[in-house]
Amino acid sequence: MAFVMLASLLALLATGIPVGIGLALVGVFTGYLVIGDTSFLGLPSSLFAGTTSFLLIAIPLFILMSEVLRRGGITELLFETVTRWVGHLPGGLAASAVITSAIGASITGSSIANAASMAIVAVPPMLARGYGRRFTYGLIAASGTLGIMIPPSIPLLLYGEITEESIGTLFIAGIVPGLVLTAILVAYSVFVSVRGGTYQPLPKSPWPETLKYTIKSVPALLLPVIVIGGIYSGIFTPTEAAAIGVTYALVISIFVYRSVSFKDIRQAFMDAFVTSAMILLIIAGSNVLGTVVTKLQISQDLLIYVRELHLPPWGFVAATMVLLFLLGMILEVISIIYIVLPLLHPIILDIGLDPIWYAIVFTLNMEIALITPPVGMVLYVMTGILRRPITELIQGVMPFVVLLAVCLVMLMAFPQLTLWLPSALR
Amino acid sequence: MLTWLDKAIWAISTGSAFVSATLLLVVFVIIQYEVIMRFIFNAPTYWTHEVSTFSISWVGFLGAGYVLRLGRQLEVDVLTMRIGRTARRLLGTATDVIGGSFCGFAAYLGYEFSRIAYFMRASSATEMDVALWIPYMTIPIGFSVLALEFLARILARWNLAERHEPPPFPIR
Repeated sequence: MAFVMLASLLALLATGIPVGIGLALVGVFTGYLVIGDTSFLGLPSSLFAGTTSFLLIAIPLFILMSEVLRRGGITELLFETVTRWVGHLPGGLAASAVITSAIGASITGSSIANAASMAIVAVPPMLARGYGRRFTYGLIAASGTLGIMIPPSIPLLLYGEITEESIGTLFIAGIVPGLVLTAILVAYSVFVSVRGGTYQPLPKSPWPETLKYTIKSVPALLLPVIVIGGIYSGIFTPTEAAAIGVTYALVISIFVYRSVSFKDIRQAFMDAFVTSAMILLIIAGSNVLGTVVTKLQISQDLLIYVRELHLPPWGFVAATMVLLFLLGMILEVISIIYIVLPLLHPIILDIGLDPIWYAIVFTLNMEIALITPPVGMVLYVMTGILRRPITELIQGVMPFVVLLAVCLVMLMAFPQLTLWLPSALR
Repeated sequence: MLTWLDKAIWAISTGSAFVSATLLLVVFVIIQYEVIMRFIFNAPTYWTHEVSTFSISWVGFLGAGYVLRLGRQLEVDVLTMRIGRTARRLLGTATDVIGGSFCGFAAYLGYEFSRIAYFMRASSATEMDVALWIPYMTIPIGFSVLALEFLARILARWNLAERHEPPPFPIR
């Protein structure tokens, strides 16, 4: 049943119907086939219940927070600051781009927003300094995906909403893997830059200037401390932390940096509104499907099926990772979360896997999904910004897909990388 | 030409989106208010959680039609980008008919759902005692607007309506 439903859902979505409507349609139709007319009566309550969650309010607020900062030129400031620290080192500008992406990831919950900001800010100076075009595009796309691993993270927030795992723990669990990925991307970018030898190194920035930029960046750098620290310490709920984050972002952008206009704020708000309305329709639709999945006990059937396969836990994880990778090529991250996770989560718990560790491995797989064609949202957005053919970006990003896949295997093989920090802080 | 119909639908979905966006702003303000009341005045409110939770549902459904018009609803275009223009138009029309019919059906069921809640005097089991038909009305209103926007999309696909209006709120 689960496979038939998944296949028909994918077929329906391939027609180009909005994902939220497609999810709800398959849910209603499956319910009608099995239960009959009475399944229709549950449609409005399922749609409504899916969206009435206090936690979901954090999504528009996190988007608004990062949009205000982006329009306030915070990414430029961070890039300038990091470049003054590392720009003169071998492959310095490339390393600076990765580190700025990692810092940028701590003030946004979306990889698309992170990569978009970095494409605007870091690509022109890198190309001007002689870094290879394809390498630059691939590096910015791949390091941009850190946005969903380093907290705050909208996919991890949705993960917590579906699985009822602690958002604070999920966010904290993403930090070390995010830093490990950053280090690996820096090492790789330095290696490629030095070996290629086409770039012109930057002169060393004088200390007073480096210090000036660093001090200027402090207010922006305090934001993730307030938001993530507030959530994990239990001072704020994730939604309240997101609201505090918006206020803080507004205060520093308007009064400290004086870099946003009323028009910028209005546009940031409208962007947050449109993206949130889009996500909420998907959530509503997936709740209709989810209700049917629960009623028909599809998860339990799938669980029995998986048990009968007698797979070792690592075999199950490897199989799901391949499935997620394939789905990542054709679907967008939020759709995958809402289609697959309600089915997978009971099995993950049943076979004794750590749900926090699985969430992080899942998220890294989704980072790869964002840069794998044909549907790689980061590639699409960067193509739009850079006005370059998508094939050029695809060629550039391929080595990074392999690199992230290696990191994925590493996170799977060493769960302590993910679980150490949450248990140390407990 | 059915430009007048397209414009009328656009006016409805823009109005609906305006209410939706305003609600999002209200939600942001009341969550801030709650944090301030709790931390500074040590006086947590009893209503902010419920009002904001119902409001976010309204944000999603009332904004849905407008987001469809902007082409920002998430759609999988991996297949549709690779087929010819006529096939794309036919397939697009078919999905619009299916999507629009579903939304119309959901709006009707949502209306019945709200009507029953009204007659049963159903209310939230909280201090606020909200009459539930009010938050439930987001389903019939939101899905009616969405159904109309699917209809408008069919008009646009077959060039039955001339479109030149820029979105009233510029989006990047």
